[in-house]
Amino acid sequence: MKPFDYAIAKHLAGATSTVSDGWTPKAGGIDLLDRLKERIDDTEKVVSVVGLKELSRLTVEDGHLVVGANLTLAQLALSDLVRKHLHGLAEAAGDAATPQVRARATLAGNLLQRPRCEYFRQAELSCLKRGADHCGAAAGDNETHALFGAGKCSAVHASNLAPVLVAAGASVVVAGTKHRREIPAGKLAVYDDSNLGRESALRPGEVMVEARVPLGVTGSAWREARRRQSFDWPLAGCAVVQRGSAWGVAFGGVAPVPWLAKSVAAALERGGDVGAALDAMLATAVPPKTGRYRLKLLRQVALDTIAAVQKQGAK
Amino acid sequence: MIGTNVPRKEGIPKVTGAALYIDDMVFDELLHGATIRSTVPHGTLVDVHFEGDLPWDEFVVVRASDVPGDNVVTMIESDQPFLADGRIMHAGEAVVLIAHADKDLVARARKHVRLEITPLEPVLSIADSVAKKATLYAKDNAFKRFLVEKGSTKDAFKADGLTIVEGEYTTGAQEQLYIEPNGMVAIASEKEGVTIWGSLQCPYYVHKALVPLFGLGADNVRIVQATTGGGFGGKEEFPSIIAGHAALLSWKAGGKPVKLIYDRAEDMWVTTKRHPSITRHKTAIDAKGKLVAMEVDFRIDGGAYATLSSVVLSRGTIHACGPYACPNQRITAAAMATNHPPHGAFRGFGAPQSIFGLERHLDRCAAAVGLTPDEFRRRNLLKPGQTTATHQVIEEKIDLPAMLDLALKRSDWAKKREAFEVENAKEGARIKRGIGLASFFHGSGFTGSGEVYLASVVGVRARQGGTIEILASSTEIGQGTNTIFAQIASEALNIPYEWIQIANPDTANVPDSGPTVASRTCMVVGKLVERGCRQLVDALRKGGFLAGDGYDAKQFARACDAYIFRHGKLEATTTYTPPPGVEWDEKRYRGSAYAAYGWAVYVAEVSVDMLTWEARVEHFTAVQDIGKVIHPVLAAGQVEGGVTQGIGFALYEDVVWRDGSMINNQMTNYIIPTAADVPPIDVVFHEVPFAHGPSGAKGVGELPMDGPAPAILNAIEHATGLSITSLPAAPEVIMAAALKNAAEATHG
Amino acid sequence: MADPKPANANKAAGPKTKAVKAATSGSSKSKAKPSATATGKIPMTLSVNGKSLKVEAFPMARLLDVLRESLDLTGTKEGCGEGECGACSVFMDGRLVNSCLVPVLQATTAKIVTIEGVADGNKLQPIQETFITEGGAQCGICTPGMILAAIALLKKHPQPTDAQIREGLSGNLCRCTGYMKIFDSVRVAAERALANEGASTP
Repeated sequence: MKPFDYAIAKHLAGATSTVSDGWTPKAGGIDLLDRLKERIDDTEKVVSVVGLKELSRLTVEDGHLVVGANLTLAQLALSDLVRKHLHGLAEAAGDAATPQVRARATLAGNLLQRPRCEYFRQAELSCLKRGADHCGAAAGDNETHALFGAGKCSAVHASNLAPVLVAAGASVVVAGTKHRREIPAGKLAVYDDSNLGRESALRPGEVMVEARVPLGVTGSAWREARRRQSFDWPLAGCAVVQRGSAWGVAFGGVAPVPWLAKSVAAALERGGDVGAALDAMLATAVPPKTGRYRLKLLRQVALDTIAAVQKQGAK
Repeated sequence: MIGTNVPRKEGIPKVTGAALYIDDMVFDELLHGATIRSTVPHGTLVDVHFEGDLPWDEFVVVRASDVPGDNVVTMIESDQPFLADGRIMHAGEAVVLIAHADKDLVARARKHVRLEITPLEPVLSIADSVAKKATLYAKDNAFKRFLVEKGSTKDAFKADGLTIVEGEYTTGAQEQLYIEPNGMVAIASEKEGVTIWGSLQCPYYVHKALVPLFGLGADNVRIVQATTGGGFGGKEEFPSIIAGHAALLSWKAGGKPVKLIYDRAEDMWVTTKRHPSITRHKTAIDAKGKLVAMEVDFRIDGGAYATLSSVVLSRGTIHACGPYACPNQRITAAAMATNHPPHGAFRGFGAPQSIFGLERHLDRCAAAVGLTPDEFRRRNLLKPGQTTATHQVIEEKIDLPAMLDLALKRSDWAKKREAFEVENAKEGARIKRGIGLASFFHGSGFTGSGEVYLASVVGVRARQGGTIEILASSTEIGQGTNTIFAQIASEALNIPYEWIQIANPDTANVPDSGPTVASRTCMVVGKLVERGCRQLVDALRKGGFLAGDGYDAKQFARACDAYIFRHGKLEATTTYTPPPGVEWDEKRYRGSAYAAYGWAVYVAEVSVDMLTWEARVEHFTAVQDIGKVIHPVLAAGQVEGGVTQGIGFALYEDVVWRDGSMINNQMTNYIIPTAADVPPIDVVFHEVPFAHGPSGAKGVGELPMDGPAPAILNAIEHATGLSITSLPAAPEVIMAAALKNAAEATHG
Repeated sequence: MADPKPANANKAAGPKTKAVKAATSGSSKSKAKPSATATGKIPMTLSVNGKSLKVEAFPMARLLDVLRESLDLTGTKEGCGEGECGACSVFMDGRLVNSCLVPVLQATTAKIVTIEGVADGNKLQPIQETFITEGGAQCGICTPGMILAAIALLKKHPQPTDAQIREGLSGNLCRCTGYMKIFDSVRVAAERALANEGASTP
């Protein structure tokens, strides 16, 4: 690995000022260290935000569940508070990776992780995000690529926590040197065909502080299909969140950003034909050549997730 | 002692972290090496450019022109260079070696050596090789062809009243994925000769390859095994290349030690994998459900150089008709050259490929004549006195129908089969269940005259106090060599297990007991250990140091002391001799292919989610005859490990190729089973002692790799009615089969 | 104060820009002359297996490399370098983590336990014994990480169910055993612990 400059932030203000100077913030480091090792990331200055108390809150205040950016997936999976107010988020955190990774990987790291596409991850292969003139996956192995929303790049957003927050209508608080702002969870991940390197709505210098989920969730779940039972990313995932008569549905691992399924949610709300709504939505998909089967997978995962939430409501 | 679960010899260092693997060993003034490789699969090397702002004058750089001896990896053929010079035959082929004391700098520098290569048309499939899209080897691209013939299939197919079943079956490449990547350290100079420490299975293979590379005398090359973190065949032939590279760098660096450790991505990209294969079957069955004629065509993708493909092909060929009696059998086989990195040894060595084709095909044959899979096999399993495809008369006292019954009973076959069929027939059943089996055999030891040519040697040395040292080049790679050798010696000498020590494989200290491959270590080398120990006792008796019939350990110790006091040392050396009646005709490929076989019946129970198309193995039953079991826990460990690799082969492990390179060369995207993916495995030993094995033992290492994949896919067919004929049966493959079935149903 | 604490100036506070400059010593140089990468190492103290150890390392060096290369604790293994195989597992403040994904500077405040710290002198822990007697160790390369994962699992679930064993070990890959003998090793260790408890509390 190349040598780095490394600093440890002691306060949020220190972190934001360092990050605004071009340093890369690091919490668990799971994804960042992997990219640095593969030499697909040129970061030379890394600031650790791992000890920041401001990023580690887990509480209920002002009608919101507040989940700190630094909380680990293990903490989220086991938290009674999270289970009570957004059960699906605990499920998604518990499904990710392995016990060792969950002990260090954080909420912010999961939400902001870069794509798992192997053409992106391997320095030897061609990737538009890394400045190559063509996309190796376009003609290559693209089974796990986007079913929806692809442009020049078809790598999927790999986070399984993001769709839960999107379906829950949550928001994410970010801080800069002189400001704080809230970004709706649905606007956090970005796909920009004219700037493929830009993957989130965070502006230069901003650090993620926490996620805020409005209370009132009456049922929620996350389900995913993957090739093996441990350490794998979803081939298709679905988050469903119910708030009384209102529903939110978002897919994960199938588009460059968490993919909101409004028509499916609408069908649930009006008691319509959910299967038909899903089919109509899947008909708009443009799957990769070898990944067509994932449409069926996604349909079933979605039905399973909805059933799980309905069961919670029936209790 | 035999048949007991003594503690593993090297257990304590392994559970305390004290065991030293190659990357754990410390050397002064160490240089770190790296290999610069072609990224194109076929081409002509034009030039090498050293770019970037790097202190190139500080680096040790080795190219083909720096090789002091023959630039060729000595194996069966001499077609593979250590460093490519001129023609590039595969992606990942080594062209330039660099080394420097600063590891980070080496990692950076390797990205700044640019190889200028003019690409040539690559051959990337068996079909393209057969079609001679480009000529890579000899005139017809075949590294080797075999023909095995018994009776006349041509005549047999003409008879009336036969059911003829044809089919084609394919398997993909499979990565060994030992958890310790390959690595070597070398110290080499004209003055000091060459010494290698490394992760390896076969010290004398490396020795044989390095002597001509440096043009040195055999005594000036020394190979020492470090603790080795798994092999499965992946550290059989490839380590010779890494050792050669590390030694070339050290030689150029004036004898400074050079470490060459592959990271996971490089290891998966360039080292050997299981040969991809295509097997075609044409089978005739009579009205009684008896096999009348079997024609098999078996082809494997050998990759860019000959390496071991001819012997892998041989084993796959000999196993292609399985343990079934059939008067007319004809097997044609070819190992084809392509521009893939050379495929190589992997547990099973060709047999898992041809047995997959056969056992899938037999289920289809059974269905064609209206028999259940178990009943069809029962009618055709070999009995003592009958012959295999190579005309070998079975002299082992096997009872395969009894093993079949045992497997059916243990797995609750009949009841489950019926219950699953009832459940699966229900409208809208999302999870379908199935149960399938495979019956098969696996030859222990080298094929044909191989063991005679090898002429393995083992030494047994007594020391003061009666402790014994076993001298052999057979390596401990996790399978338990050290432990079973000590058990065999303890039993033969009638002294405590703790008194036996196993010398570390080091070519300067141990004789050549052959490679640690081919399920031969226990049966062949273990037998030499047993004989050597008996010779030692004979010497003590003949010299009058031991009197009477029996003795205890104390008496043995005193006898050793007295003998050593009188003669200076007490040693025995034994050399392999074949069991009586083992004869092989290499030209006609006929005779006793193996002195003995392991025999097995495996049953897999699966569930298939008809909506997500995921198949899971829910339970597995493995019944086998490996002769007398020396160490039940270790033997069961071999079976469970092999079955799990077989589950990976069947359902998960898929090498994805792009332009001749494996592109999913990471553990994240090449999927092997985790603790969460394995079913309970019921291991049953049906012990029939083999007269010529140590205490009646045969080989166990490879057998468990052969049966799981066909048993699992047979179970998937039972569950779903879908006949999958290629591996792995990933969800998309199962779905494609279902869609094809549905389409065919609609079109009538 | 809104300063980040620079890595190599633990005591010095001071203006942010200066502090950052101090942390970057050698970075601009290393661009021009890569062989100057030796600069930038900083002294630090690690608590490993109950001992306080001083090392000099790049702040972003992997904990795995520092353990193996600077402290000669080579029982922690590298199988993949990407957090998948678990061979490099160690405890940090009682949590099982992959040391290949931990920058060493982040480990300076934690109590680290490696496989070398499991046995009590020459006395093996029960789980180490059962890995030998039940066949949990074959080639041994996954064994150190697997034993630490088993310890973490038994701490959480002293009498684990089969499902808990599978889940607890799902971050550690083994290619030799097919996991069955590893499960047995965990089960027998749990049984012995229960028997001992029974013996000591009549």
